Amino acid sequence: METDLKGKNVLVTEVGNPLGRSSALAFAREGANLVLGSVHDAESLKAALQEITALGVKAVGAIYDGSAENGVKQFVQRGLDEFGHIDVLLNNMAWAAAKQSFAAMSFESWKRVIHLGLTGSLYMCRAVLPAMVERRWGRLIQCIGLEGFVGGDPATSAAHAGLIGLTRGIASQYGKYRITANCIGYGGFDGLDNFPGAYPVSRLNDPLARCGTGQEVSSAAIYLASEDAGYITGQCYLVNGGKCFL
Amino acid sequence: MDTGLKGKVVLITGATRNHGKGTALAFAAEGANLLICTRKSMDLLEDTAHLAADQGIKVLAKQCDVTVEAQVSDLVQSGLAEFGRIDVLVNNAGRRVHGDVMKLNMEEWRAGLDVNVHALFLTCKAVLPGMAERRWGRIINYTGNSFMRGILGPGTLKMATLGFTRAIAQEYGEFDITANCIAPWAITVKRSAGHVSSGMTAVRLEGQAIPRRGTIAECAALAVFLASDKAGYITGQNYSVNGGAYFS
Repeated sequence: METDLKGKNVLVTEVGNPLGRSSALAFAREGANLVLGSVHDAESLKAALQEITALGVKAVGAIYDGSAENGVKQFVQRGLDEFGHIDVLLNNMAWAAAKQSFAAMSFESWKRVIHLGLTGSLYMCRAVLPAMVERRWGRLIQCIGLEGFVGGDPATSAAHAGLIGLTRGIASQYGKYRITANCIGYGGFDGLDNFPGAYPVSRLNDPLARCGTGQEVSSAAIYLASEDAGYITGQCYLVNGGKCFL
Repeated sequence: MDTGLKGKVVLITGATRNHGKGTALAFAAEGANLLICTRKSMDLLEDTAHLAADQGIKVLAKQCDVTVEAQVSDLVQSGLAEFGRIDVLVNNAGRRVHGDVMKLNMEEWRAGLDVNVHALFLTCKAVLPGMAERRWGRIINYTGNSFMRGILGPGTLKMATLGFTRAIAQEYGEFDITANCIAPWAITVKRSAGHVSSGMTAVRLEGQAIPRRGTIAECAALAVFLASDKAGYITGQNYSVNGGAYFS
């Protein structure tokens, strides 16, 4: 399939988790240049940069402050300085924060997750949109977990579901600039949502009876970023082995 | 229909006008006692309280900023002191945040997040332990159809409300506590003076399955049903009252 991603510039956040890393690599294999970021994981960032430049594309990366609009802007500016523009945002604030039940969760920790996951993602969209509008082309892809659909850690449920609303809002407002905004709802990936606590994965359907692989979610990201997906916007595509149906 | 709500205690936030007031009066008509609050419009809240008390039920009307942890805690404590328990929580207080994503005023965004999202954490935190202990409870959160229409500010905040509601439904189902959302659309409401409607939210009735505006009472009736004993197997849902404007 021709994705037309060769030479495009793609920003991927949180390359420290399997989803971000495999997506960044998949974009690199399509010939896209990468801007990589993480709010906390310098080691994974460095490893991902090495792996990606070895594929013959250009990549820059930075640790940034995702909780402050200026921190996010500076990070995006770094990518703009390097590549001139950013075509695709894969926002993947799905890092493995310590998941908690509502009963155990403090207001402070609730607010932190909402701030970084929801308001932080809003900052990210605001940082990349102006240059996309100028070029009349863009793809915003938000990665969200199962929690927004089936419950689980309440702060993650709220933040990730909120991202669906944000995505639909941006889809409505920016379609006229040939910018699409969609969500990928992943679930059942090793290392991402296999943790103890209130998470209900074990109670869900599991038609495929196995974990998903990194490629199986990154291929959805590649497709949604491609030229051929230009009429898909405001949607949430689930890649979760059938664990929940919309 | 016997709703089983007689003598139950219902906490409703923002019960001064529109959905809050209408919901309070609907529960009062079922014989439920009320704990109602507002951030600042005590005169309007007293109106609601008097109308509700005419139904022969007990009402406690308090001033409370639901975004402040200590005030929510005080509110619930005074409710518990008066009634001994809270059976139903209706999170109605809300704040609309409008605008293009690039032009959103971040102070407004934070204020919207406080009322539409953080306040729900606080009210649920305050009432759920008692509900779990008694092994019965109902959480009802007002959302809307904004996230079906792609209206950015309300759509984002109300989707967050829905996500949170599902997490509560998941975690507290074992205690026979349900958590659901009511999503009104195209309802006739009174807007406050100075309310500015965004063009995005304009309601178009033509093409809507039931081509008229809905009423507050039609939404409040759903709240009463969801709180009733009959609705004990409904949880984690977002029920629209929208004249068929959107199907989902």
